[in-house]
Parts: sequence; structure tokens; C-alpha cells
Amino acid sequence: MTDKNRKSVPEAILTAETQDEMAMAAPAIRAMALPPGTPWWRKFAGVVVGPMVVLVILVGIWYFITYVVLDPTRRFLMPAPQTVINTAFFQHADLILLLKGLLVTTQAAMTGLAISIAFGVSVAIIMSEAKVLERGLFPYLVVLQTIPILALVPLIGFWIGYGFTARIVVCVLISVFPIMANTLFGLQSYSSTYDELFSLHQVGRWKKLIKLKLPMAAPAMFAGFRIAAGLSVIGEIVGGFFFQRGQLDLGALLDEFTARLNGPMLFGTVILASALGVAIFGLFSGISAVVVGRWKE
Amino acid sequence: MGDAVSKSSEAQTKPAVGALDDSTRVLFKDVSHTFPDGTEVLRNVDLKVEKGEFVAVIGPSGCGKSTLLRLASGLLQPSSGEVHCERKGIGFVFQEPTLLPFRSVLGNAELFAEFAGLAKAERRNLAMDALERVGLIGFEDKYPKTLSGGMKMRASLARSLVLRPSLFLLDEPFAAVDEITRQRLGDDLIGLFSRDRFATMFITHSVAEACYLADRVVVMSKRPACILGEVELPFPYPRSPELRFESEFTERTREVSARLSESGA
Repeated sequence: MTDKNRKSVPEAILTAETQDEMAMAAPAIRAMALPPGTPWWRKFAGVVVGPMVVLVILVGIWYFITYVVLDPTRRFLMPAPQTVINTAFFQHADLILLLKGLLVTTQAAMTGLAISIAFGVSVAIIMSEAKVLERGLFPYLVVLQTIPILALVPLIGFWIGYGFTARIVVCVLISVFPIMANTLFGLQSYSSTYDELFSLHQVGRWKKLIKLKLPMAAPAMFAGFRIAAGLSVIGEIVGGFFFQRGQLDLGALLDEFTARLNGPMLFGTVILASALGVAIFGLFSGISAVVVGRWKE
Repeated sequence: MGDAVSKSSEAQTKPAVGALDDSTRVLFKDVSHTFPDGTEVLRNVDLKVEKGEFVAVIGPSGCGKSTLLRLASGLLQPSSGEVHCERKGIGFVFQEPTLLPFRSVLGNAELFAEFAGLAKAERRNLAMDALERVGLIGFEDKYPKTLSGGMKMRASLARSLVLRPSLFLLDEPFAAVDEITRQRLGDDLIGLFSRDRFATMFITHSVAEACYLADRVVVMSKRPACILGEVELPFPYPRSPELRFESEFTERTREVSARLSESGA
């Protein structure tokens, strides 16, 4: 990235309209890191203090709304943090219920993500190998992305039932696009001199894909996987929210607690769901750092 | 191993006369080339590179010097005329190092041996040997992103050396590095050439570099390029930097410059 194009971190993220641009914003995020040689406590402070201050302010606002804005009779709309934590995480039966939901959601989201990765990467490879297919298919993939998935969800229920499979389908529909778009972008992002280098040695298409294109695409692919990881959790929860056959997942629990106006449990479920999203995102960031970090320029 | 012949479709009916003999590595016979967009880059080029000969090709930028190398290597087919070249033993060095960023220096050096299907132990030996010759021992586990421009170019040279090419095609390989590194890389190339005596076609736009490195400098005109003239540089290898200050050498340099100015550059 040249200096001219360099945007500030929030600007780079906020102005990223496509998944590609989001991936391009990654160096800006890395630039947030402190220069090497900074003492550990300053690094720690740099990483922790900012978010902590924001957390304290947010919790403060939360308390303010619960105890000042809301009338005691309406306090169930926004139960205080300690009520949420006590009810959701320190009552044995409730905790078990949530953890079971978390397990179901994790399994379904990971299954969906795995399918998205396999499908998205395969389609991207096929499109990059056959330009005709890319030109034919890509507009429809963009269309798929613009259809509000929520509108499709009830239809999916009609077509394939309301069980585990339907949740996976929603999950894949939501998470597959960034994988496909980023992989395709990655497979095409190397200079044409490499094509000459490989043609000089009469390297076949398949070998070139394995030895050149896929490794070159790896950084963009991982950026796609990370975005998709968060989306797969959202997809699973949306699916579970609508399709309540089978084991209760976090989505089904959200629906149930909403119906019962159980504020503390509702908040607890939301916290767990976002924690899962963050964990999967972190997992893929870690894998990416190991696989790509040591060589990426 | 027969030589690969590339000719235009209209030339295909003619018998391939004057194909490569034992002492010739590259032969251009009346070669013209026009790009698909209609730009005529080369017109009636006749050029021969002998075994063990170092030929530098110099000309105004954008005149089609690189096209010459792409024709010799078979990456392009000429629009008319014939190009004869032994394609098996070519080492091609591009203007950019074109290293694979996800492979270590050693992994990059092994690449062509891998393409050739050599066994792991053998290609490791060949790669280490090539890295030693370009002075990159100790850097074999580094990734390209940690190397300087000059070291990347050395790694790129090592990669091409691994298969012991009998013909080296270098496309302005030192254009992107600073002057000091450029001279040092030039001396390294002379060292490699003096030892292995591979036939060499070296594209450059620097008169000093062309004269210092080559036995023979070929001067090309601006586009559509034809050969304006040739200057012999009968100085023995290995050459030392002092050569640059000898009157005989400066005389030849002046001649190349004079020819080049005829090109309208």
C-alpha cells in the first residue's frame, strides 16, 4: 500500500465496501501495532487500556439505563450486568441450558463454515481456471449477496425442513460469498511475470495451481475465512431462530427467552453468541498468522 | 536433443535450413514481430549467439529488446522469420527477481530442479551449490521479504543456475537495484560466466554495463527495432573493474554510444 492510498484504520475499515477492500484494510489494522522495542508493559497498556476504558464507559451507560432511565417495573427490558451474569452463568440449570445451546451452535456453525470453505474455494478455483465461467457466474454470486437472507429463510424451511440441515444451509448462504470473492481475488493477484516463469518450464495447469496460485492466494483466502467465520455463527443463529426442530441452539434459545421476556437469559445468550464469533475469528487469525505471517510482505 | 524451431505459419513450408549447429546457441533469421495490437516491434533481425559467448543487447527503452529474449525462449512465436534455440538448457532471469514469497531462499533455488523432477536430496545439493556460487550461504532459510533487492536478484540467479543452463537470457536483471549493488552483481555475473561459460544474452540500457560485461554489444534501433551495429570487446575474462579506465575500453564504449545515438534514442 503506498502512502497516498493509506487510510487511517477506522477509515480503512469503514470505507471498505467490499470484502476485498476489507482484506486490504488488514495492513492498516496491523499498523496499529506499536513499534518493536516497546517495553512489555507499554504494549500491554496500549492493547488493554483503550478497550478497558471503552468497556467501563459502556457498562456505565448500561447501569445508567437500568437504574436511572428505566422505571423499576420496566427494568426487565435491560437487567443490570450483575443480574445477567448471576442468572445466566451462575445458576447451574440455566448455565447447562446455555452451554448445550452453545455446543449445538458451535457444531452447526463449524459444519457450515467447513462446507462454505470447501464450496467457496472450489468455485473460486473453477472460476479462475475458466474465465467463461467467471464472467457467467460472478454476477449471480453478487446477486446472492444482495438478497436479504432473512427473506429466504422461511422458504428454506418449506423446501428442506426445519432441522439441522436447514440451519447449515442458512449458515452457508451467509458465509460463502466472502470466501469465494477473496479466494478469486487472491488467485488473480500475482504479476504476469510468474506466468512466464512457469510457462518457461512447461509447468502444467494443476501443478501451477498447487505450486503458485494457491499459496499466492493464501493471505486473501484467510482474510475471507476470518470474515466468514463470524458470519457462519450469525447464519447458524438466524437459522436456529427460525427452525426450532431438533436440539436447541443459541438461536432457538434467543427466540424462547424473547417470548418469555426473560431479559437476563436473553442478554446472557447474546454474550455467549458474540463470544463464540470472536473465538472463531481469533482461531482463524491465529491459523493465518502461522501459515502466512512468516512470509507475507 | 533437436533444437526447437519457431517460425511463422507462412515460413512453415520452407525447410529449416541453417538449424543450430554445435557451436550456436541462438539463431535469429530475418525475424520480424508484430504484437496482436498491431505494434511492429522487430524488423528483419539477424542475430547469432555462439557457445560460450556473452552478447549484450542495448537499445532505446521500449524498442523490443525484451521481445527478443521472449522469442529466443519460446515464450513468444515470431510473426515471420525463424528462431532457433536449444530450449532445454535455458536460464531466464527477469527484470524482477520473481521469487516465490512463500518459499525460503533454498526453496526458491530448488524450484526448477523440482519442475525437472529431480529427487529431493539431489535438488537440495544442486540448490545449495548454486546458493554458494552467488554468496547466499547462511540465508537459505530466510524468506524473500527479509532480503535486500540485490540479494533477491542473487537468489533469482541461483535459481537459474541450478539446472546448469547452456544459455542464459537476462532481461535487464540489475535495472531495479542501486548503482553500487549493480556493479557488484555485474562482477558476480562475470565470475559465474568465467567459470561456466554459458552463452549469454544480456538486455540492458546501460552502455557502461553492456561494455563491461559482454564480448559483443549489439545496438538496436528504436521501434520497430533492427540491428544498427555490433561492437566487439576483445577483453579476456575474468574482467576486473580497472578495465573501465583503460583507453582501449573507453574507445569501445564511445563507439557503442555513437551507434546508440544513431538509433534516435
